[in-house]
Amino acid sequence: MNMPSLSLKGMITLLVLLLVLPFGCIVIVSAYMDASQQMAAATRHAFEQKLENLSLEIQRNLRKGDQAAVTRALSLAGVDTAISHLSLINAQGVIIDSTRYAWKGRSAASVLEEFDLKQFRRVVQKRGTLFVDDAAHIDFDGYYAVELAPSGQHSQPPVGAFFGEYRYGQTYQDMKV
Amino acid sequence: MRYFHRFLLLILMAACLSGCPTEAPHLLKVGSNQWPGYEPLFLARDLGLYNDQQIKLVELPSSTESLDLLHEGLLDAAALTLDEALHAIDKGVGLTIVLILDQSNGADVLMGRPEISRLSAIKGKRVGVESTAVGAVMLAGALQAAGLTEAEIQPVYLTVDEHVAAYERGDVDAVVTFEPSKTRLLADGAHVLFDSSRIAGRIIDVLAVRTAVMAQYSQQLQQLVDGYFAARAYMDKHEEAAAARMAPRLAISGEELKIALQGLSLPDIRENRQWMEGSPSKLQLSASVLAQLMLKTGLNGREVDTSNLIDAAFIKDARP
Repeated sequence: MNMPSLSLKGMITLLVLLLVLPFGCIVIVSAYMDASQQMAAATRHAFEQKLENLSLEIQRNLRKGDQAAVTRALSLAGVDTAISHLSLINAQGVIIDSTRYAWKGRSAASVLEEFDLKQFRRVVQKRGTLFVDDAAHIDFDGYYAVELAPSGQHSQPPVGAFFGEYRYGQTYQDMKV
Repeated sequence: MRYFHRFLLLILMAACLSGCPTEAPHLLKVGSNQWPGYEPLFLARDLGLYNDQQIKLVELPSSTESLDLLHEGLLDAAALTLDEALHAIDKGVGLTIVLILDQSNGADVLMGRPEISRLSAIKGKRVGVESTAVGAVMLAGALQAAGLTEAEIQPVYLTVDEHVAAYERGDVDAVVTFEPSKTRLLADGAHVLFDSSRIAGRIIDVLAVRTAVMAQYSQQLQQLVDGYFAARAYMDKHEEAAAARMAPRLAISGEELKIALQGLSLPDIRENRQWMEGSPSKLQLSASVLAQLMLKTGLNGREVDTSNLIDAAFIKDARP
């Protein structure tokens, strides 16, 4: 292919474009990454807040011995568009309750591909939280320790954890709607 | 030279377009409680027939939650009995029926004590029944078959969790019920006097969608219906495997699920079309009768208009 000869004006236009385009791309990409990080942090915080509220409700129901209310609370939490699934798991790694009813009574590791027993045990032991991004940053998995019996009833109340998957993409879509 | 400028312009436009975010699909949220007739929807999900970015099945402990969430706009669709759908409409939730999931064909029963040898012997007896349209439909059908009126029995209004206890305490002589209470009452010596196979087509479960979001979710609804029928085809071809996949969600065995499904009729595409197409359709006529009964029994405050209740478009285009 023969390259057409350029006038000075054309040459300047081309040079400006060649300089401006990469710079513009860098600005856009860095702004996008910054916004994504901020959104991810806000989404994680919202998920954590939701799990904290849910753990309080579940403990209240456990205190009353109302297992049906525990199921109801978890099921209603599962209506959230961004929550793919959410399970309450005991220290042995068995699913006590879940937004997926078929998983109840089964080992979390056997039904949840993303579930990491080592990380789960660490969260339970430290009574902490852990959020793990997936490789493509489309969603993240959350572990959130929760007491499975009211404090005061046991010197060391049994602890388990919520494990759930939260979708960034769906949150973004919800924000747009 | 002019062509070269155009070429540059095209490159610029392509660069700009590639930076635009693509529109993520809307997520259709469908609520369902545990009922054997709703299981093909979950089987479809289990078989990977639904795109989980487009369809989310929300598992709920009872239809009360489905109705509440529809009312709050937190669900877009739900699996409901026809009377529940009519009740929701009465309460102001605009709903459209897009699919018939199942019909009771023996799953609902009137059971009596051993000494009540025939249906007409319920005359003057205490009959337990739920304050629901299904309870009313069953009782009306049984009374009609027995040649009795409601004034000739003593209705005892009970919730479903009270059926077995009330029978065991001797508070009722007969009771209108369904599984799993049916199995427990059989063990207590009760026997079936009347079942829903004698009033086929009167007790129906449907997929109801909030009318306000129908247009927005048309693609997802078609996917939902197509996946449902693909799962039904899988059930026909692989009965054991399908039962094994579906039973855990209901916390029963595969064998128990197969028995429970025997009391139901699951209409296929052709039967759905027969029920839903035409004006007035067979389903619309059935819904009108039910709406009148619900008004008469005080379950609804008004007679629900059923003229725009059904949209057969998804059934028309359904392909398993």
